Amino acid sequence: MNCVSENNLRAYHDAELSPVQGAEIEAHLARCAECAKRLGEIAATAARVEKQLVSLGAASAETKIDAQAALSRFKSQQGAPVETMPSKSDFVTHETNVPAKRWRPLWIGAVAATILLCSLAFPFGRGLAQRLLGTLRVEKVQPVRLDFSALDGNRPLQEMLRQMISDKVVVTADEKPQPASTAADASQLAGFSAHMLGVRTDTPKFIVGGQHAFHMTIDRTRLQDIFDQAGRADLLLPATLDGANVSVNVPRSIMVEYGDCPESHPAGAAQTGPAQAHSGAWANCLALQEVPSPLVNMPSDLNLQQLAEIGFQLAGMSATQARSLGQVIDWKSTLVLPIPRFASSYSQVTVNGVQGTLIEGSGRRGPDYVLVWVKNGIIYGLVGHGDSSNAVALANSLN
Amino acid sequence: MNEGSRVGEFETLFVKHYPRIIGILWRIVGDHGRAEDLASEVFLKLYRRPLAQEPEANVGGWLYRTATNLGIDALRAMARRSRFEQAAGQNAGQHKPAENGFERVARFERAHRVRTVLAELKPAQAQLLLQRASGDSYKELSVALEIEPGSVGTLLVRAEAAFEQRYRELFGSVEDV
Repeated sequence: MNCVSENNLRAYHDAELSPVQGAEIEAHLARCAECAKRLGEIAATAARVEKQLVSLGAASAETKIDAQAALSRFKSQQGAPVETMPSKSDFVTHETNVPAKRWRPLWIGAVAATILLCSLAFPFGRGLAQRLLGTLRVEKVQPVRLDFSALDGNRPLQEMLRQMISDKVVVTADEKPQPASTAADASQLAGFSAHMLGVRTDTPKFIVGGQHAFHMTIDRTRLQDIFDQAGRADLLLPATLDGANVSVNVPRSIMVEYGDCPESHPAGAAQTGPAQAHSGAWANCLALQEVPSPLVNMPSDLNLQQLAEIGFQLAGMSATQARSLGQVIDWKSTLVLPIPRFASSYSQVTVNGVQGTLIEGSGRRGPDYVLVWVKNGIIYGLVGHGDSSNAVALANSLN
Repeated sequence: MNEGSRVGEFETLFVKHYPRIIGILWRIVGDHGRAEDLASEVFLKLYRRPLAQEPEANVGGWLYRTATNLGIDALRAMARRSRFEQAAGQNAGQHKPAENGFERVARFERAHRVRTVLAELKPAQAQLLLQRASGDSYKELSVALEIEPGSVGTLLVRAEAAFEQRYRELFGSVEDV
């Protein structure tokens, strides 16, 4: 017998040969020092590499895997029975390329995330009446990549949320937006001074957004049901959450619109259809939104970080990633700004001496952007179309 | 095949292969949540793939190949991300109560090095090593990775040599860890 091939030596080492082949090689190895040496080398290398790979561990040894539960979660994450699961392209078409509408979820998302994070994080006892309330006030913005896409199209989940809001949330203020003819009028209506972009000489339109306020009592069981429906039964809300009272007050805001903008851009642009998004429209449109920090009252001994971590996990982060991020955010003063899925990039910039976040997107009509920053208790959002390189300069011209 | 039986077949395949797919992905990315995300992606790809007239062994092989491909892609992406995210990925959910802090750190460090090396190998070699480490036989490897059964041994030897070489280049001796 000639010397054994490397392939067969390795297969012999792994007991992957037939008994006859194995016996032949064994006999050869007994009289061939060279092959025996080569087998020793192959075995030693295999053992060293195996030792390294073993360090990656075995999931089954540490994690109980329930395939049926995973299948249920998989189906619910797709938001429909697998028979009618949408394709990724279906998801994309939901994100209309009308810039105003596309950015709208940013604000909704930011507020929703704030409410979610604030309203979920109450590891306190039931004696709420004796507790002092703590107040959150936004001083800065923290951009975070969150992905709630797994919840998109989950109709039972949406219905549960809608029902819970209907049952539990008591709205105490829900004002409609109203136009103002001048900056002075807008300031008087809103209760704070409107700022404008110094570099724009055209006359802007002013819209004063209404005040919105509500309070709610947390029903931990219903919230947990919602988490279960979202496929995250593994995320357990603290039992002490039950019965906690939260109140949220979003003050009046001012929208300053420059140029040719879509109707009620961006606040009312949800009604704007893609058909109106013809090329060239709104090229000189700039919208500056100004809103004083929403106030969120809640028991002062809450553990916001703990609940924020749960919220992050709901948005697709691993427990460890959520913990790592939760630890670096000052939850008493930071607005978590979810970065939309369609955003192509985001970066930290300096605006008027404070840190801001520039988020860029790309739609059918070309690039658009939103720049968000907080200064002196006011949250600013500048939405523009086209090149974002002058966004900071525009924002710095605020007067 | 009608839609009902197609869905039934998909669910059967899901339940049968999911634990193994999670195991492979967890080993690659070291984060259970991330492994679940990737597993969902694998099965979404499977659902969109015509299953008819395909032997089940081939479907299993396709699943494992797709999972390791996605896992290695994710590993490479993690390597490119910020240090913060890398750290989060490394430390994912692997705490063993019996370990002391030093042991845990050492294990994380070793796993991190292994993942770093795997991310830099040729994907086919990384796949082969990972699936062999998962306990696949030569026959299973040849089906899953679409390689000749008679060349699995040689490919394993080469993959291991490549692993050791890259490990030494990056971290010194393999035994040092």
